[in-house]
Amino acid sequence: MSGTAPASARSPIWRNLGAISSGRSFVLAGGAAIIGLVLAGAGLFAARGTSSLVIPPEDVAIVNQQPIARTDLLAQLRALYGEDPAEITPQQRRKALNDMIREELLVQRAKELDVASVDPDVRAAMVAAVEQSVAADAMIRQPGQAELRAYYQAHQERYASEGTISVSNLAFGGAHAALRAVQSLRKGADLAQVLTQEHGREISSEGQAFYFASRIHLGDSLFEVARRLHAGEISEPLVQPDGVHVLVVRQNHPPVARPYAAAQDQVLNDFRNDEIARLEAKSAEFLRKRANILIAKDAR
Amino acid sequence: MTPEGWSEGLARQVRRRPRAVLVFVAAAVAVSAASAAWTMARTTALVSADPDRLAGRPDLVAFALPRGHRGFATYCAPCHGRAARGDPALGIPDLTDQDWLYGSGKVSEIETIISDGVRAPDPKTWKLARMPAYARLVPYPPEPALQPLAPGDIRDVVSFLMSIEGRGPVSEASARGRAIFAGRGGCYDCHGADAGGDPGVGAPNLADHTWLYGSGQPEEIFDSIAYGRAGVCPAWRGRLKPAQVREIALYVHALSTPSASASVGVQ
Repeated sequence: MSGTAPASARSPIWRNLGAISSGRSFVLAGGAAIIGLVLAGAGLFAARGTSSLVIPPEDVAIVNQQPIARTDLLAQLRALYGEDPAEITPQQRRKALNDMIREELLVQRAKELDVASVDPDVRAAMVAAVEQSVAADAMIRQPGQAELRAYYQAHQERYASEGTISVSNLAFGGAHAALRAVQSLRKGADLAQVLTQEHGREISSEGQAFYFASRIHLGDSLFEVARRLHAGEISEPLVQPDGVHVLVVRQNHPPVARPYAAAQDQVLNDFRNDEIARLEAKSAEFLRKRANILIAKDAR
Repeated sequence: MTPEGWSEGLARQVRRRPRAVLVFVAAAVAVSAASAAWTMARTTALVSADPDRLAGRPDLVAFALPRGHRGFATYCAPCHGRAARGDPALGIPDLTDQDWLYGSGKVSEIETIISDGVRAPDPKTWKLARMPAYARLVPYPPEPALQPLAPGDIRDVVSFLMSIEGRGPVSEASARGRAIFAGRGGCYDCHGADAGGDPGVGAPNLADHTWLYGSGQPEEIFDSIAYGRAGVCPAWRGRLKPAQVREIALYVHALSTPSASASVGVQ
């Protein structure tokens, strides 16, 4: 009847921590076991992915252990019925939830049917999802200024401004006329007068244009000549299939490296994109390394 | 006192007052358990509630804000800064200025951005549009019909934008810029005919004296039009718990609400 014995009767050995007390050992072991069971039970019922009868507070339903988040339901309701959740009726809420449960069930069935092995759209979506998950790791890291500056220094050509040019494209019937026109223009003669004298015509005269636009207007070969000329310079006669051309360059600003401060956001984007490409390559390499791939002899 | 001396002293106390020690340990365990249960109950209430109606639950807001502050300092401050003022050099928005690029600053909208990100590698991310680069042959590859602009065109649009903010005169150049803005430039498509922006696609208001990139100097606006912009925000879904996302969203919402920002210690 030790369980009903007064405390004073058992206290000497119970209190004396230097002595072994089987009663105390049982009580402490029992207490520890109860605490352990409570913690394990809580963990078991609260953890995601385990069979549970309890719906975590952040979820609105669990379909075969797959949660449907409250935020997703709220977003769905807003998309379907408008911004104010107070105006959404219980019937609308139930319908939206039922639709989401139905979708989840179909997705789970699709997994069972291994739809990905036959449906190219599903395969593409899965590939994209895995690539995105790899890229997400690179996105959450904010590189320091020193890293970004070093990257900018190493890839400065990417951050060049687009050059601008203003050029007139003149065409003449023959090489002699074109040569005379060039000589007159270089002496400062009036352009309109020279065209009249030498029976030339102005094919195009553009105001300030970006290099890429000027290349389209002039064609590759004429543009390559124009971009090497400085403001006020006149080209030599240029023989082309449609006649002899002369280029008059009024203004030319070649591309220059934009300063770091101006290009900083693009440097950050490019830095991240390179990081994503590196991680994707590593991921593909890792997957290949751990995979068992057999390739037919004729396909090697 | 050396560690050995300290542990000997503790053992002596345990031998002298075993009952007091047991009571102390039991009390500590009970307090920890009660604290954990209280936190769990608050967290449950927080994530179960409608995020846009949490203002009516000041107890939950008071519980969430300090935790949101800690979450913000860990996950968001590396880009937005500890004071959440952003970085105009990188186009990282100021979260304290009540000028919302996406949505109107509701807690649910902030939560969506934290979870899904902006132009993040996430299937649900917010990426309906980005600023075209009009000094490129194809300014906006998803819409090949959009034509590049000449340098003079871009300067005209800059004049127009300066004029609508009252920082430049209404001139022939600004009139040409207005025509480009409302016509072949296609600017109106995202920024609206009044340049007031569109929070549905994250197109900033261009008439409100708040500039995402730089400080609104003409050369900075020229660069934005010429070379394009496309800021990103990572998607934290799967990396942060739903409760953490909500706490941070509440904190960010409080930053832009003058009455609430005092309570979270933002000047």
